[in-house]
Amino acid sequence: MVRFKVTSRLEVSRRSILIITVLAYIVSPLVVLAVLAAAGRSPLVALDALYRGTIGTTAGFAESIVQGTPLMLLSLGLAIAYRGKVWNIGAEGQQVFGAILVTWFVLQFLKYPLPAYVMIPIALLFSLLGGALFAGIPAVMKSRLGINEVITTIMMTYVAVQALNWLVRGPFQDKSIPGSYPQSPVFPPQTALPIIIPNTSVTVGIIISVVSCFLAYYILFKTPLGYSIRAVGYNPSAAKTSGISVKRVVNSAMILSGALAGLGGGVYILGVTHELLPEQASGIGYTAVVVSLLGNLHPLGVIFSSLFFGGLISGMSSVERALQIPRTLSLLSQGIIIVLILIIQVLARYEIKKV
Amino acid sequence: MPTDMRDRSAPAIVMQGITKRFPGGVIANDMVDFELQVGEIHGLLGENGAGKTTLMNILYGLYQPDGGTIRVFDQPVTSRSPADAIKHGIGMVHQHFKLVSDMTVAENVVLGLKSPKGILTDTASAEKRISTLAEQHGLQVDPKAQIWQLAVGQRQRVEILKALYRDAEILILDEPTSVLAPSEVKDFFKSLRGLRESGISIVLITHKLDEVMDVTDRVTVLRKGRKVATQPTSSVNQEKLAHMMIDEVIPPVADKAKTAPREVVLQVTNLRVFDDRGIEALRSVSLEVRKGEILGIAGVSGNGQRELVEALVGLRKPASGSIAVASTEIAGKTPRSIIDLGVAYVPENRTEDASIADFCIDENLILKDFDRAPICGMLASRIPTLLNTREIKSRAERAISQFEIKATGVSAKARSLSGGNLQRLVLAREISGSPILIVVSQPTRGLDIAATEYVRSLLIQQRNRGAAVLLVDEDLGELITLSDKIAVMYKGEIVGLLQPGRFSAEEIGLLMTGAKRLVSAA
Repeated sequence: MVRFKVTSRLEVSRRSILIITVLAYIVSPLVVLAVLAAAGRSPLVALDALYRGTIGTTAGFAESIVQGTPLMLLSLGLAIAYRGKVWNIGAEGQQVFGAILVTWFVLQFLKYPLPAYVMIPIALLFSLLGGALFAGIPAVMKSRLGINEVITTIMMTYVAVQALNWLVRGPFQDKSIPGSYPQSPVFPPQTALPIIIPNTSVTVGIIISVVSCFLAYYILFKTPLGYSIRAVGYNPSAAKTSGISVKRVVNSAMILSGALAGLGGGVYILGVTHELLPEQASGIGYTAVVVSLLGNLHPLGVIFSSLFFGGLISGMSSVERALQIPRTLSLLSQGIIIVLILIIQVLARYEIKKV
Repeated sequence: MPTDMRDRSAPAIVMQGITKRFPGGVIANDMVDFELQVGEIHGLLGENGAGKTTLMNILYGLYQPDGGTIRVFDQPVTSRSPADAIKHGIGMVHQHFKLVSDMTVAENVVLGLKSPKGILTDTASAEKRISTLAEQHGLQVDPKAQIWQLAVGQRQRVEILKALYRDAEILILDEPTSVLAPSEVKDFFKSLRGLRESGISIVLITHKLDEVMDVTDRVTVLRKGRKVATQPTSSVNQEKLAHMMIDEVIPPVADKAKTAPREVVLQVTNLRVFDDRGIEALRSVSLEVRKGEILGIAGVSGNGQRELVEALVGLRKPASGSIAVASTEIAGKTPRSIIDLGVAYVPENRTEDASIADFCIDENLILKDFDRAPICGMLASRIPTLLNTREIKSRAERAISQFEIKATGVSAKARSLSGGNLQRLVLAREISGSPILIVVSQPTRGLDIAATEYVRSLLIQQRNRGAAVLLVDEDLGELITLSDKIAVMYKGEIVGLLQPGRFSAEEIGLLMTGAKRLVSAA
């Protein structure tokens, strides 16, 4: 009898990681189709809907990109922080605060807006600033006082979300419409991100996001700042012994991470909603944790994982409509896919051998 | 295998035809046979990279062999994990300890064991049993202390206690004495003999010939992954073993040029430092090191050497006193500003403090000047911009050839290097800036003969160049060979300063153990 045993690989080549990751992304949605088939739904209809909701139609493709855009920026920020072993869980709060600062800025010019090429860059700067400031508080708490950043970033998220809920019902509320809807005035068109694919909602936001990923790649692997973040992440003791200020690196990683999350919030409000809504806090900051891990904490990997996830959101809502399945089932399917990919990535570190 | 099923009339271990290949074509073990009798101390001798540790890691279930069979007490076994090996009665103490530093000694010892109180831990009874075991085998350690508070020598005792606590009948010790002071080695060997009397079979992985002669019953020599021979220790001598072990010519230590007394580079005055537990580790230490001089610091591990070194390089804030490097006060300054004064540091723990395992060779070499020209591009010669990849690569290539680092290339991960090659990498980085002061701690710990000689001659070279060297070492022979002066530390004080030509191992031994002091108490 032939026997097999599982042993861990000593080294996994970059190429095999890539191949396995790509395979995981293709195989795991198929498993979901099998689940749907088991639930008595036609997997062929589901597959067709999934195709149309992602790459099969312009609308599906556009929706995938729209969903993936802010996610990309948030996940990218988290990937940088996690490289330095700074466990920022508060991308949600940071993107909300970024959007709040953007709204504040836009409201100053509501009646007499400046031209778009002035408004948009400044608004985006405010979003970066908002995220950075909001991440700066837990950063300083960690580096100065040694307070665990997992806790502080989560708590700060509550602060941001409650601030958002108050602002849209208070100072920022649109008083011009009758009734009291929790929303800010609609932004002037001079603040809307230009659309790059006609008849869709795909804006320059996607270009900003992808460029940010390449920039982050350069920062992480080609600059002294990125070097020190990776050094501290891998071995803080050796980094400290070599004269690297671990505190400063922790601060930089967290603030950079927050700035990117803030930018994500800004791109979302300027590109999608054009007004501040309570739904700005959609939980995307938590999804980003998973997406950054799916991208192997690599800036270029994050491009793929976030677009994949955007496609998943868009594709599954298309499946939802086609099969008349409840939203929970589609969310469940998303969960299955993520878990499968993560499992496959872990399994890639092992090999099966004949005994 | 339950304890009562062990056949103690058979050899404790029989390994036959063990072969292990690593990715990249390295054959770590090539058809190796190994036999351990019950109740013997068996030396496993070989240079670094000879395959000793790999062979024992296979026995301990950490690696799976590509070929060969293993019998333990006459039962065929395949250990898929250390847990299996422990069940078979095999315990192993690694060269790099596997301890959780934020847990106490007792918690570490019982880690992974079922508690007699079910889901509740039973630290009290564990502590009691550890104390008993510790006393019985002369391995004193406080069961309530946390691991990070302990010196290396004490951590090793915890590792050995861990195996004993699990009723190991076969004990694999990987370079156990490399962390011990000479006086501790003697006691340690005494406990090994005691363990042998109580029926425990011991594999002693080492490359120290005198240890083999001193304590083992039989010895197996490995060279480049192959077994050379197994011999009763009584039938061999050091020359014979050395011959079996190495087949290359060892460069002699470079000549120590005579140097006239020159200016003081390091001046430490009344230095007082506390350890991690807040206990006074250094009490009013004063010393000086001059240009072109090696000051050796002798002492049993845990007598303040670590705290002294950490204070010198800026990793620990002194409570009081002064440290001056080239007349600049550095007490309490950051590591960075001390490095900038020309102070190099070769820490005791190469893998933890001196290198980053997941970084490549070239990345490890720039750890101290990654944000400086020429490694980093500069805007207006002040603001760092992009890393200069070409410069980084060529530096690595130069270091690999100049320091004879054996690696597959500049982008080999540091974790793939053997101990000797990693130390060459660290030295390459530290020496490259022509430092005025080099602080060195246990530079040859765990290295093979060739690497040891290399490191020693490099230190002499630096001294001859005019660097001041402070060498903390527990290897007395090495201290005596290298040092111009030797200061002996005991309980946080310097109890003796020996002048050139007046070293005697015996006197140092007396000073180290507190049996004698030459300097009056401060």
